[in-house]
Amino acid sequence: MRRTLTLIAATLTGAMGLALSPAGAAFASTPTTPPTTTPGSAPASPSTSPNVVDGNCYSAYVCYYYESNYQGSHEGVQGDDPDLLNPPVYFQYPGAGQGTYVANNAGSGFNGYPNCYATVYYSAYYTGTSITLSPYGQAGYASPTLGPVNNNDRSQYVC
Amino acid sequence: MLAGACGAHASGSPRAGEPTPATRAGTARYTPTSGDVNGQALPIFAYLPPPTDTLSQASNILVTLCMATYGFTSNVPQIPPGQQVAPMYRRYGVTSLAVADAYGYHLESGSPLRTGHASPTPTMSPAEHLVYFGTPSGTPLRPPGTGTSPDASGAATAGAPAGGCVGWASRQLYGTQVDFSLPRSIETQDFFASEADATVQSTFRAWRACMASHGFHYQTPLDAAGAFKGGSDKPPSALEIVTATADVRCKGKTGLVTTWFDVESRLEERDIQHNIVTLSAIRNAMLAAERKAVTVIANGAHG
Repeated sequence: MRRTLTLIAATLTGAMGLALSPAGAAFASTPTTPPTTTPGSAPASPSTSPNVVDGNCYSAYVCYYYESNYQGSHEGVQGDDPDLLNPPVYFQYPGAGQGTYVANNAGSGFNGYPNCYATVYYSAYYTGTSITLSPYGQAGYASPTLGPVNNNDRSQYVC
Repeated sequence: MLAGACGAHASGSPRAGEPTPATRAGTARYTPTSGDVNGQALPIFAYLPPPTDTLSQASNILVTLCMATYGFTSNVPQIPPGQQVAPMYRRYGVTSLAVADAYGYHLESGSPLRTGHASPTPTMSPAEHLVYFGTPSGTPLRPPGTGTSPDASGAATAGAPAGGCVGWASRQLYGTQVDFSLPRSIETQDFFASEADATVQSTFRAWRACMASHGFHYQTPLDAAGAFKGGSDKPPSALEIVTATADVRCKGKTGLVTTWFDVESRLEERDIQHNIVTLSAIRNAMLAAERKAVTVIANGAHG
């Protein structure tokens, strides 16, 4: 398996001008201090949705920010949710907007699912205009405004 | 601001002899009805993600290759082909009478949104997580423009490429992340402009009158869907079903869906022409990524 992938690497390197060896330029990795993370504090209002954890945005969650440009309080929501308002999901992470509903209050967001598209809808039960966020890392995986569902995010569908 | 919580005071009861939702759910499939626009596309969609299956497949190849280079040859998340997206589906609410009659506003099994469903995201070991995402396991992912995000504006974490293998793969295909702010702004603006358009408002009035004749009172079709609570784990109530079926019938009677779609399309065409230079650059960036993806797939397949 490793040999096969090495051959693929060599082919791609030739075709695309990529540096694909572990020590190659494309993978050059300068040791750095891992990013400082701040654990989510206790929620201002207890979230009653089973689709959230602690306000942080882990992989396999859709991450919502209260403000545009990924600012303010945020919250990760997992799985399909036909109505973010019922049961309510709250912004838990410390920052502007903490304790408020995620539904109809999100100003930006990104998709933390590596293998799924995520679509956020204007209204409940996946109705109305929507924004589709590509899988994590793909073009369009994030939006600094959430476009047509800015402050109008009511339901989400993933995968 | 709580859009959708419209203060409706719907009334209605199950029709005589109506089967219960539990007996009908699971039997109906998506069946387009008159006025349905699912399968059509608004003009702005040509300038918006999601990436195509070609791009997803190429990304899968590159991420897998990258992970293997770091010694991880299994457990790599893969984007499945054919996975959604049906952007017109339910854009103007439920439009299939068969679905409304069995599910109300709930999502039906076999809906267009359920095609190409992905496998559950694999659980990764800490080492796999670090290499895949570029962030230590158990730490949050970061939004664009921050040190460990896939756009790799910051330095690499020790033992992983900048932005993780997913970030590295993305850079091979797209270079820098494509900025979709303008097309998303056009879509936003014209959705609301179309809703306020005099012709659309006229059909809304006709739809409201039709709904009132059935005993239901909502301002817009989207308000109706938002009025029912309970979540996906509970079957639709009888009231939800009779409301949804009336909604679909009234849409068909008034031509609401096609009218709304036509107006929204016309507004978008106008704004696309006003911004054609910038939008063409976005389109070209997507096409360039597509060409790279074809090369990756061709070489990967023959490697």
